[in-house]
Amino acid sequence: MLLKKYDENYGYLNARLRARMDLFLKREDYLKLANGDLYGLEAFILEGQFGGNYREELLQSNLSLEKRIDEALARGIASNLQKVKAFAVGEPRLLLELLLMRADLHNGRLLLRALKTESNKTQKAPKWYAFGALPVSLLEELWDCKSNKEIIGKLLLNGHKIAICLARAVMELEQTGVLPQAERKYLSQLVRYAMDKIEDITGKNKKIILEYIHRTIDIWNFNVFSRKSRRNGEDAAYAKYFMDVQGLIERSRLFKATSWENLLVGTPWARVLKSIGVNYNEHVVLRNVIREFLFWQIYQRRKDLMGIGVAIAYIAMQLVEWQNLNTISVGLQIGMPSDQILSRLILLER
Amino acid sequence: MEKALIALAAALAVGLPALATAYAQAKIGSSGAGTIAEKPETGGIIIILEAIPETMVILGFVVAIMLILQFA
Amino acid sequence: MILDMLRIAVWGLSSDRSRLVKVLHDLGVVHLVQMDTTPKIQDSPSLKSLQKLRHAILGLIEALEWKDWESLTDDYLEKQREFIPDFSDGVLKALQGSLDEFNERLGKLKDRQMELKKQAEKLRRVLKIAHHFDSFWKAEKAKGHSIGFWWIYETNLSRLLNRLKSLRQEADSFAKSDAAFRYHVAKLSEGESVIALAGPEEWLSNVEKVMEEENAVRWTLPEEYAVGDFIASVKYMENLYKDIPKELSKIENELRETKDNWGPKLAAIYIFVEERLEEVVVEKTTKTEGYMFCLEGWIPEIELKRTILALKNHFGSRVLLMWRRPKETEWHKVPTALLNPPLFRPFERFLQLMPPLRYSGIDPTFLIGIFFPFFSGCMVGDVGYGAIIALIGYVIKKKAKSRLWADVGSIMLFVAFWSVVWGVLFGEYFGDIGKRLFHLEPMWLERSHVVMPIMIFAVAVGLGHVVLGLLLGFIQGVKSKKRHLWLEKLGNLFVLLALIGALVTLKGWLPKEIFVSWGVVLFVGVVLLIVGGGIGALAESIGSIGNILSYVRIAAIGLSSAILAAVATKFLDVLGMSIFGLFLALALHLLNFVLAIAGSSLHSARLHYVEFLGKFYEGGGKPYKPFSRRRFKKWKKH
Repeated sequence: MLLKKYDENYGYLNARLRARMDLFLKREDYLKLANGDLYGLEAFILEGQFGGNYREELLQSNLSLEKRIDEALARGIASNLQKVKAFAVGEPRLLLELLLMRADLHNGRLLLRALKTESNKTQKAPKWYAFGALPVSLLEELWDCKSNKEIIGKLLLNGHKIAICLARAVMELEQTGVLPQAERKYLSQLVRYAMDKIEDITGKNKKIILEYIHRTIDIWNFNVFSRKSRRNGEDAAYAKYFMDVQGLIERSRLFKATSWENLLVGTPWARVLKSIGVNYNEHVVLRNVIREFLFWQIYQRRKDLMGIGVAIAYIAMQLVEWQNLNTISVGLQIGMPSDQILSRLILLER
Repeated sequence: MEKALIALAAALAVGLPALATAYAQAKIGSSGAGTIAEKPETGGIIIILEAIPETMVILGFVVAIMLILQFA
Repeated sequence: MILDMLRIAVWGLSSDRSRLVKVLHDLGVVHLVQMDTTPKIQDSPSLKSLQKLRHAILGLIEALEWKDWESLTDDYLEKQREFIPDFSDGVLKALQGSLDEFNERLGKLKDRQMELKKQAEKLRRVLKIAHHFDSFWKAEKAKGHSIGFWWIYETNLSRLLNRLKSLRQEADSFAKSDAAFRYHVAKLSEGESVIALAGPEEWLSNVEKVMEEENAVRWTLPEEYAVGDFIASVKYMENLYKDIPKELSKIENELRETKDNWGPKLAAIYIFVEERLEEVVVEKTTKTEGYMFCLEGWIPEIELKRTILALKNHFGSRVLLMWRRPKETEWHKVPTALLNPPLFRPFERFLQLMPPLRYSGIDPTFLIGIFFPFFSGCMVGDVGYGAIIALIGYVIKKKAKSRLWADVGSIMLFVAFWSVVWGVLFGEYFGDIGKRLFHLEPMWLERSHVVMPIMIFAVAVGLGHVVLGLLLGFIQGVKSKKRHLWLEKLGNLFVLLALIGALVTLKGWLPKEIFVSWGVVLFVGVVLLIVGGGIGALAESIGSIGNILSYVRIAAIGLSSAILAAVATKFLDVLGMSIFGLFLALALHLLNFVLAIAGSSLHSARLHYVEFLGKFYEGGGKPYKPFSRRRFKKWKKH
């Protein structure tokens, strides 16, 4: 107890998180929303935990109803996750920061893609995930920059380690012009940063976080693998984009495997094979891989009540809920029948 | 010498359960604080849960008093 | 005491509907039961615009960060009500208009505040870098050199410097300048530095390529701050940076003023809108049959007369009121309303930490009012401390702005009373000061000297308290016809009786011959327990013995408090009547006093929650929430 480098408050944090898990929507709620209309969704949001965020949007009266719902959810979820982060002290705080880095990963990749296609010069900024370490205001500024050099300068000026990771990725893009390479650089920098951060942590929580990072690496590798198998001829060209750090699946296996069965059998990802059936296409596989990752995260809430697993699950559940509400919102906008909407939701067994 | 031993025994009878209780209450307390922050209506139950390990010290105290009164 | 409730149904003419709802709203006693819950009510346009208004106002209040709901008085609300006589379309429109205007003004202020904060942060960062270089810049500029800045990775630095040196030698050979290669490095974070290079213009442009190869990125002052040369720009930025706090505090003042002026007004409007919304919802959800409509709900029996009178006054014979007592089968649906004598009402607070009491349950408020201060007072057990508690309690009660604090004050007065009583019994006046100065002797026992009798007394009190709890549990079981419940409590009582009987017999206070009969009682108790609640009940019965022992804490905490107080005075013996001695004595008394208040009330509360209420309290009820104006409720946004 005394030898640990970090303080911790898992008891407090997890009690709060577990109590807050009751707030997540249940199957019946989704059912009701999917059967209603956009106004119903609006009323529902106003009464719920994102009511405050929605009211903020309401004050900016120039937005349309759909846009308002969209913005309120995005902001509500971001501020909720930031709030949750503030509950934690010491080790869980550090780990939560690493877990929320997925927002920085997402935002960074959006930026890199835009820089490659130069769409930032013509289009409006995308919807950033506002719960990462890099503030949205910085991202907006980067979006408006005229050159990659300027972006790098701004990132370096910001000084956050993650900003520097992104700066290096932009530099990679600037030098090579190859998007996957830049993205790979970004991810590997982030992984290295995360690994540095957890160096002093020991025990069960480290194991779980490591598995989380490894699974994130796997997801990247799966994407590369998918491209590789789609374009048989250019095998070698794509193989170089596999992550240099190993995930759960060994690198040798990634190079050798010729099919998804080959790749996944006997690994922790094997369950994906069951869900995709025999005649699958690449998109289905990738979607199921991500689902599997989410379910793994959500499952962590039962494994150790005094560990980081509860927080991992909480974040995943929050993101699933967000995705579901967005699905419903979009579904209602285009007049999709309710059973169709429901079939697109990710529902958890409770 | 004998008195010293009795005093030591009495001190241990209170001290050890006190440490154990402190450990348990710390854990329950931090979780309880988290729960109350989210659901204030659980306050009564949390006080009950928080109080359960305390019995150890109370019993330890009784034993200590007994030791002192009987033997000293 | 739990009030008897009546189920009522009010029939009226549809044309009277909104007036009748208003009268009931003003009356504020009916706990309404919603009859028609179809979602159709959402479609009503008046409801929608009201809801929109309500959210907009709440949004504004949140944006203002105004939270002072408790400070709104009824007078203030009534005064504000004059400005908004009704919610007709015209009033709504005017209201919406002025809210929009207000919102825009507020938005502008907040945006400016945000912008300034961002700018300050940016300036801070830029200046931090720039200040590393200003003397270097000045020196080099004086020599007529040009200066450039680059970001560079720490790892590349030494290689870069070597390359630059060789490049410089080349340059020197044709420029024939005397100066050696000049640079200045500022380390910014672990991996990054900014390097400033100085040299002739053409040399610097040659360097550009090398820098690019080494992954260095050109850094310049942000465009918006570039005025003239480097030093001038830095000056400019410093000035800007210095002025920001002034403007920020101006904005903050303005925001605070707006908040103080508008917060209560908006809150009042919010409350009115909320009230109106409640009425509209009730109007829309009433059961309608032909030209009649019906409202149903619960009222406390004691309010029946007042209700009849109010309806008669307003509607004469155009309204029909029917009432009946609840059937046993619907007890679980009846809301629970508590009414206790004003003296004991503060103790209802203790129930707020429990799940709401059932209608068929037993209201423990009165008993808590008796035992809670009794236990706490026994733990404090000091006339002096009691007097101070009384003083503090009185002040809190008088100065209290909210009901909660007023109740806390009242409870403290109770505790103070018993502290004084026990203090006289134990002969403690600020520890042993009374004894030393005035030879005040205890009327019963001196706690710090005789431990055993007080411990036995505490356990005996515990026995009484727990047995009372079990008896109440038994009554509760019989009343609500739950066989397993009363069997279990009865069994528990028998087991306790057997154990005490055996103990007393062993002590020789009862003839030895009857010892066996206690075995019979124990057996009966165990059988009752097992029939009532199975093996689990047995374990619980052992638990109640633990519960009784737990009351030892009354003696234990009292003992520690008495000894601490005595020790405090001892300081004066050891150190004499010096300032230091007095200070230490007072400090220890203060500590002891705080511990006495906190410890005694916490432990007393715990004895109630854990040992007492657990025996009979039945939660899971519905609190009585009458349909009333906000001023009768605790208004608080959910």
